[in-house]
Amino acid sequence: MSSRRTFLRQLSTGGLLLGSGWLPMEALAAGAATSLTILHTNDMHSRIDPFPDDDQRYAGRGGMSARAAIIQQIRDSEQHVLLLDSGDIFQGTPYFNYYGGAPELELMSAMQYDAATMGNHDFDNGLDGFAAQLPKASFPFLVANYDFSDTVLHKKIQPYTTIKKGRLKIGVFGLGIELKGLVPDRLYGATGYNNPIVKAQETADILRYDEKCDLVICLSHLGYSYKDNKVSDEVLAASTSGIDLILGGHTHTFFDEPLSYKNSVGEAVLINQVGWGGVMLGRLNIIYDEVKRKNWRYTQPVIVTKKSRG
Amino acid sequence: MKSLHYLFLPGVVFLSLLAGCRYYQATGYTYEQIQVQSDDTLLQCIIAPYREGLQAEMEKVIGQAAQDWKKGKPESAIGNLITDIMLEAGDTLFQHKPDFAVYNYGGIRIDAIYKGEVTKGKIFELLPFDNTMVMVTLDGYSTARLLNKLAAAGGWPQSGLQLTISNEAAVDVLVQGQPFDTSAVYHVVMNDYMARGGDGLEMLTDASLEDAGITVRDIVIRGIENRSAGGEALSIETDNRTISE
Repeated sequence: MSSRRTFLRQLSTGGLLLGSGWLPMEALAAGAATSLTILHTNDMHSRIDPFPDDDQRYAGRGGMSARAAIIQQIRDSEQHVLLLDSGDIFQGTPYFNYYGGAPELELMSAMQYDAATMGNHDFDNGLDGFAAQLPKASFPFLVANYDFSDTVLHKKIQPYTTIKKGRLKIGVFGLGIELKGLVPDRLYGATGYNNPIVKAQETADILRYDEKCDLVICLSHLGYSYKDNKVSDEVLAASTSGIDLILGGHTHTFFDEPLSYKNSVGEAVLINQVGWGGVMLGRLNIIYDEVKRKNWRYTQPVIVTKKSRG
Repeated sequence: MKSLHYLFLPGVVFLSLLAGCRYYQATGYTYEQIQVQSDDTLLQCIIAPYREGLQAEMEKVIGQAAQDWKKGKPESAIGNLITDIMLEAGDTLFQHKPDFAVYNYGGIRIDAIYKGEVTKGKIFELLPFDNTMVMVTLDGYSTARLLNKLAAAGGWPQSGLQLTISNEAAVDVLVQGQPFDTSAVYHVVMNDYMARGGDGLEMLTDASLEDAGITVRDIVIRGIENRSAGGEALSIETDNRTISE
């Protein structure tokens, strides 16, 4: 595929996927290579059951049980797994109309999601509706650019979180789309909207420099790309630095593979999105090697052994 | 799909100054976009009670589709069905008889209702939002802006109008068979999301609004039930009410 060639070319001109990408000596485990598995979903839209048999595009696909089984398989073989969602968990099947999001959050908790961000449809039962279901989530909701301080969600949504997986410290933050015109005013109430680019840079800097994270992940519900100059994951990638990975949503885009972009300082940042309705689960294995070097040496490619999933 | 990528890390420049230092280096990644499809029942113990609470209701058959009712632009069978039912229901729900009905294209959430049994659950998938049906009263100028918005979007579902989309504008517009009149007042049925300015319809936010207090979904379910009362399969076709040039 042409996009893969593009990606390799970008990297070979000096792109950097993982801003720091290393751990100091004292943090080392005794073993050699380690890997971090990142699993992610977006826009599941209350698709608890698989798509019905008469669906001409996705018949039989998706379903929370099927997803849970795949995740369990991966957890059985991988030591360090992160499970993340990029919003629009709610709305789309009668489950949401009847239960207001309770089963969705219970099932995600059972799958041991580590974090999620809020999509515009997660406001569909209003701030009170969301707040009422929130205790069912065993994982945090992250949005760095919404200001909830005058709402019932004050202090219930955080801008970011950090997660330790083995020796790695991972920073995860969320970004939400502008709600005005997209969500009825009465549903989002006094929620304030801040510029996602500004907040993303602020938060990435905190995670990179204050929290000293080895990897910074953005859960974005901005949407992958627009014809006009509306802020999107593409714009976000190009306008910020310090973010390694943008896991997107909102536009329901099925990526064949993660795409690499240059950030504001010329480093590579990956964007991925896996359509909608839970028909796909994104998986990225970031591989870390223990490295010993005595001489100053500029970058060199390291060949990664192809790993296969059982 | 599985692929493999290599990384080049300029950061190594600095690290290597610490001669002999050992550290972890991110050397690359593999990825896989995993298709989710299996008969696994891992979480059924959580899902089952929720499913049982709504299954009987959702599986109720409310009618038969004589053919696939697809979603599309500038006009579609499913869009015509929804807005025809809205316009008809508006006759009895509001103080004033409505002139036409419109529905935002993005509010229709599945691509088609396929030939055969139409269940209540299918209409929940089609119209998942709990938006109520409303009627707004618009002056001719605001109506023209609404119609141009509809046209610029490539044609939204509507009932009661005959219009042509030309250069993203609505032209040759007939309202209930009468030429569009900029000095007239029009009564327009839609969902409350649209009436409150959703989907770029800011021109509607100042208009007077009457809310039926019933979701469009419930109105459409009832409309299909009524049309199916005789037991015949429903045939819904496009009829060139919206033409794109």
